[in-house]
Amino acid sequence: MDLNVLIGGKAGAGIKEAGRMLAGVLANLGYHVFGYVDYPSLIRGGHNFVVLRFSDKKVRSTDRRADVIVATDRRSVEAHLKDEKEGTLWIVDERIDKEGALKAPFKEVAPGFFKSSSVLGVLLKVLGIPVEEGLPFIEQLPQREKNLNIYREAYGSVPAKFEVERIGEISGAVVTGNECVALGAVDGGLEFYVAYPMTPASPVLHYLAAKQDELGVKAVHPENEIAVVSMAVGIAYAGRRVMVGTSGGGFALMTETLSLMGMSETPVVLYEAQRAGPSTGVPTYTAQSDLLFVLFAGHGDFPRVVLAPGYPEEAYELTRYALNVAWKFQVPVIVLGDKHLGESYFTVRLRRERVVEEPRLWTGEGEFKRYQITEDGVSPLAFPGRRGAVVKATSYEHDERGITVEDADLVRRMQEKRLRKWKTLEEELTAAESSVSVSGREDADTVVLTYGSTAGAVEDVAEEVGYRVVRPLLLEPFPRQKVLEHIAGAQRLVVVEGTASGQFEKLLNMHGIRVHDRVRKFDGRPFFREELKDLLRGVVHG
Amino acid sequence: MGSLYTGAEITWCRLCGNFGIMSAFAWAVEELAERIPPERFVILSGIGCHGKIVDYLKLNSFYALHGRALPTATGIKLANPDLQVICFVGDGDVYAEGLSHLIFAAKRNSDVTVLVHDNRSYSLTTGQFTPTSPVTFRGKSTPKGSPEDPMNPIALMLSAGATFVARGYAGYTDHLKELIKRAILHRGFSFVNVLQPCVVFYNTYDLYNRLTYRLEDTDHDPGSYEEAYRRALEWDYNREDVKIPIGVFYEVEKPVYEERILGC
Repeated sequence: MDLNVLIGGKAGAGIKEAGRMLAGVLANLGYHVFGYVDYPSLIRGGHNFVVLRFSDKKVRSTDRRADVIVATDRRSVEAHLKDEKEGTLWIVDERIDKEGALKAPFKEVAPGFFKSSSVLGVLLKVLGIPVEEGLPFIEQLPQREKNLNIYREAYGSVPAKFEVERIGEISGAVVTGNECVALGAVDGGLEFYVAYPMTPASPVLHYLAAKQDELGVKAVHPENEIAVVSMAVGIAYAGRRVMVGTSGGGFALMTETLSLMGMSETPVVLYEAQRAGPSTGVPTYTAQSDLLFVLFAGHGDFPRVVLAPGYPEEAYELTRYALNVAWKFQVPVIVLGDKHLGESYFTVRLRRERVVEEPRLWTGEGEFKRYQITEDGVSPLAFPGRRGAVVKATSYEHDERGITVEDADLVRRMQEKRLRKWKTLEEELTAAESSVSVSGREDADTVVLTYGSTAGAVEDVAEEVGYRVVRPLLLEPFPRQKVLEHIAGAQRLVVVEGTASGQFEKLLNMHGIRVHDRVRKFDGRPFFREELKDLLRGVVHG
Repeated sequence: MGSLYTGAEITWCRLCGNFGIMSAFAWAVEELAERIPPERFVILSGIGCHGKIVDYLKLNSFYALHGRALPTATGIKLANPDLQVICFVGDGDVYAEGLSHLIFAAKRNSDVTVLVHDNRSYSLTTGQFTPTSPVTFRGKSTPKGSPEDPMNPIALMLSAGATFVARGYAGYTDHLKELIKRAILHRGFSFVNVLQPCVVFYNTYDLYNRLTYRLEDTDHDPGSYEEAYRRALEWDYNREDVKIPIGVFYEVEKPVYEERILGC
């Protein structure tokens, strides 16, 4: 069983909600589900759609052509004619005429809105899933009775066309990458999340704000991204763990302060969820083209860490790791995600565990020097309020106590201290096996190099066709040796990335890795499975 | 309590107004020592001549980015509400580069104190006009005089919702010390615009000695918003033929941002 179900309708009609509930039902029946969510930048109207692909095997991408297309409005029919294939089952609203389509009453709770219960009812029946399986989800909706009636009526209105049977125990929880970024941060000891709304990072703010009491964090929403990141620096200086979240435009506003973190050695984690740029770009669509920007943002020389999860499990683990790395080395750590990772649905078995490593702290002996020169470049921390310590942090070049200096010798020595810290963290981080993910056939001639959420389609295709995939999760410092080891023996190296100018390939080139072929996509949409399969075959065999 | 000074070389010009502000503040800290031990102070600064104060004072400090001391300060206060957080900022720093943060710190009644070293000139960058320069100010970027009317930060802060609004003068250290003490002890956002002569680019000692008068010597009621606003408009940062009130314009209690966020 490997089916793609597309649900289309107006924004506000509950399309996303219907998709998420269906994913939950399928997960409960033992299926692996991946859900792609496509929505424009508007509040009501327009056209939204969700594609759920589910299978008894792990799925991480969708196909462009769907087995079932649900059109809750007329526009969905026109929009998705291109997505049908031989044998596609169309289910359309009863007021729409379409030859060969099943008609269904997509009733709504309020005029024009909230059709999720009727969509779920129709789909469960068509898929041949018992009505009871949907009840736990419908019962959690507001206006429970009304939704239950609509759900049951919808369920009864169509015939069963598929036999989607239970294949095992629950496959996992339905989560998004954004939720896992939030949970990873919490389990890495997060105390404050500070953010200004910006798609596609906003769901992290919403999630942590809604659950702040339960999770023991504070969510703060100041006037702009400059205030966000400045507050974060203040919070970290005073000894509390903090993360900020934004997308490319907001990150651009934060870059002066990123450099301040470098100079003042302030540990802050920045979640950057990429969307299609440049500029305001295509706000609700995906891209991977902030890569070189986050790697090089900020004036002056200073160490930073950039981590790039491809899946929710990695988003969880790497964000938790980010908090600990930031505090261990007193550096900014960027978790680089994107809309596709952040907002897609995945079935995941998340094993949560709190991991909060204590940073190097001042022992209380002698005079406290915030920027004490040490062999590994890391100076012990103390926080303001502690008797006997005068904690001076600064944006200026400074002496060990944190007092401004311009003297050539001291300027060089402090820069060297930070360079040693850079070296220390580079050695530790690039030595970790987890800095590079490897999958697919070990003896494959073709190795695909990619990063971030593109992993999903790449690994689905590689598994099918027999490629090997090498994907660094750590992008700065770059795990060059590990990548070289994993690509050794490859006949053909292909880069797959969501950028127009080949930013990831440039990063590889910078580290002396040259590839033979490249596949790029930059229309705001993720790679679809069969599309990528064709593209890869084209470059590898063409 | 040991010396409040780090011993770092002081590089302000002779007779700079910054000396008056630093000694008034140090004096206030000493007088408050029994209530607030020095390790509970965190001082921040922006960038400009004023900013050097954090190098000179032996207190916890954050030498922040130009214009960004206020949100950094709010972050510190959120992380540890026991700290007394003081921002030393310049007029170019906080009225130009960082104005949005100033307005929002006042709007949210963040429990921090802001002392503006208002010399009405970008002096460290060798003399350009700032948001409070008079139209007669001939700066290096505006040799024919300022093309903009000055803003009135007292009226601005009253509009923004500040719960403590005052003006001091760096030439009257004893008066300024009292203002700073009141500002520090105020629960909520406290703002003191300090008139600070710059002996090189805008020497205003004679002007302020001649024009300032103290609100405490009048029947001014700092609990009245209307009266505060009327007093704020007495001087527009342009004229040299009217009196300039110094002292506390306005003081009220309102819920504090950090307590609202932290739920304490």
